[in-house]
Amino acid sequence: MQHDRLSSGILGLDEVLEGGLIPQQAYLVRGGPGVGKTTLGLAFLIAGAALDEPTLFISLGESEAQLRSNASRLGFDTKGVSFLDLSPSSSFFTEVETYDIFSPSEVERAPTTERIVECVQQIQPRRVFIDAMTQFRYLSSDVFQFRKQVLSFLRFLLEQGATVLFASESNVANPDDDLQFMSDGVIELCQDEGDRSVSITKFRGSSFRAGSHTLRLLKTGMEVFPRLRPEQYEQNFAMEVISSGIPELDRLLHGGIERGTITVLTGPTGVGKTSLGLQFMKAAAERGERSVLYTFEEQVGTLLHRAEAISTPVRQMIESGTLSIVPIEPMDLSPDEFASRVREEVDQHHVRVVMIDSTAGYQLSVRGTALITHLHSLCKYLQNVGVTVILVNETESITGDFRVTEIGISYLADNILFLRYLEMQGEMRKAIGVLKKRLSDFERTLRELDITSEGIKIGQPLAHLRGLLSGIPEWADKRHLL
Amino acid sequence: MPKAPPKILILDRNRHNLTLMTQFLEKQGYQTLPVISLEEVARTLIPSNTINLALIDITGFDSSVWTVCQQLREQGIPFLVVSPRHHSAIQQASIASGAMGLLGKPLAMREFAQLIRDLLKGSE
Repeated sequence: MQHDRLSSGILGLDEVLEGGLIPQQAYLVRGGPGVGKTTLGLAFLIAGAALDEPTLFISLGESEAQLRSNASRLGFDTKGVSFLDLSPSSSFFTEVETYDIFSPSEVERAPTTERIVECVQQIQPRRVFIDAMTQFRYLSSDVFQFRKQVLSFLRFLLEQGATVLFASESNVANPDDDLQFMSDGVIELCQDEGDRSVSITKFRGSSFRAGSHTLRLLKTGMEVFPRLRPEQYEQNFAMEVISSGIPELDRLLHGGIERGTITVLTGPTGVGKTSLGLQFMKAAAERGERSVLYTFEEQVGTLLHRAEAISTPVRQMIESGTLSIVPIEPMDLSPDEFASRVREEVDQHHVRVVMIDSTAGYQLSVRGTALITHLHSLCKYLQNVGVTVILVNETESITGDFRVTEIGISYLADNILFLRYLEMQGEMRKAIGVLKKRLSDFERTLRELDITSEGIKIGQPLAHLRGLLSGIPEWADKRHLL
Repeated sequence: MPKAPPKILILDRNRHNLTLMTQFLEKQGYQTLPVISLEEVARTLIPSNTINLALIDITGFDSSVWTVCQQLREQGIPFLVVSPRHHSAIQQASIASGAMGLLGKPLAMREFAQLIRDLLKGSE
């Protein structure tokens, strides 16, 4: 936190704001019903109260008692927060007769204003949250008056030394564009089919992280997961080739794969993509490096069993801390949340290899939106910090016309290794080949791949076959017998 | 000797309105005579009681409110009719009973104060 910034009360949001709110400015918090405007306001005030700053909640909708009890349900301690309750009392309803001789804007503005001024001068708050400013519209005779009143009200609060957050209740019929113009910053909360996000659309005097960032309303308040921006994490690392641990595979790759590159392992179901990926992790573990496998599809139990069956000592790797297998429930995390978990893991545990199994599972978690963008920024971030990334990509076709991936991620890849089923002499065999390698040359021929109880075996180049990519190869030279 | 401030009769069935109007006019420096029923109006209309202006909020009254208006006219008391909406029948009835004008609710405070001031200029 920069010393000249004020925490919004939510760490992730401070990051999006590039350090927090600038003091003595007024920020609009906008969004539809139930997006968390009040929660954000409370978090903002409580962060101040924790620093013994006087704080004030001006409520025009909910009563103080309601707000305090809702806050305590979220685990917020509102002891240090003062409330100015301007919400209508229940007696307003029980009194059948109300006045109509003058408009409410004229009758109630003066006493409301007096109460606010009195309260602010008494408390001298450093932080004020107004929920919701749009209510003052009903106390103004026209749009011009409203604008003037809001501006002078904000100025009054800012002159008292306060930093102000104010909510707006807007909809199509009652837009709040005027408030957006009047504020120094706009924090927009959004809800779209259960996905919540926050974005900053204006921030006077500061840059901010553009785009929408995942927001979660938890039992304990609110959490924001800033979208990854890879260039922020640029680090220097030496270009270094890491071995797969299988000499034949290393020869196929002309040495191995480079550290900090993105490798796509692509192929149909059951061909051995995960096993091959784990092979790279096994080799990393032998060098004493830590790997993390994010599994979107397979249960950890079956994965362990499968890996042990082909003599990849995953349990031992996990025990020695060189491997961590993290199951991710599809639909459970948003891309921003997933990225922030990965980032945390990489930052805290010095991870050198990350495998995402599989891109289809990741896509499910992204729910179809902007898959490439999210995957791109995650991979670029990992690459920048020198982590070797393995993406497992399943193709639907077992044989037949060759397609690298079905979701258009091949451009992301520095290396593409493809695994294929081959039909040779009526028998189903497997082959592995390299399609692309950015940083070095590679073998142009395929090699046979066999997954045995002793591990992955890779054979000699299949140099005498043609039509390999079609899946039904023929002898290039009939004299050869395999 | 300074003249006593003008006295304004206020008729309104709505107690909140009556209170608000009384407060408002007293703040402007007038004497007020708030009444809530037609019977009370009749009782206040005695010669010893100098009334400079009357405000009649017709909301909630039946047509007998026009009889009271007639009485005001007969006694030479200028009056304004206040009504929740502009309705041509109400307008005609107000003018027929001698009202100086018909005001629609809600009243804008500033303009209303100005109007009262102008109307009472002569009586000060």
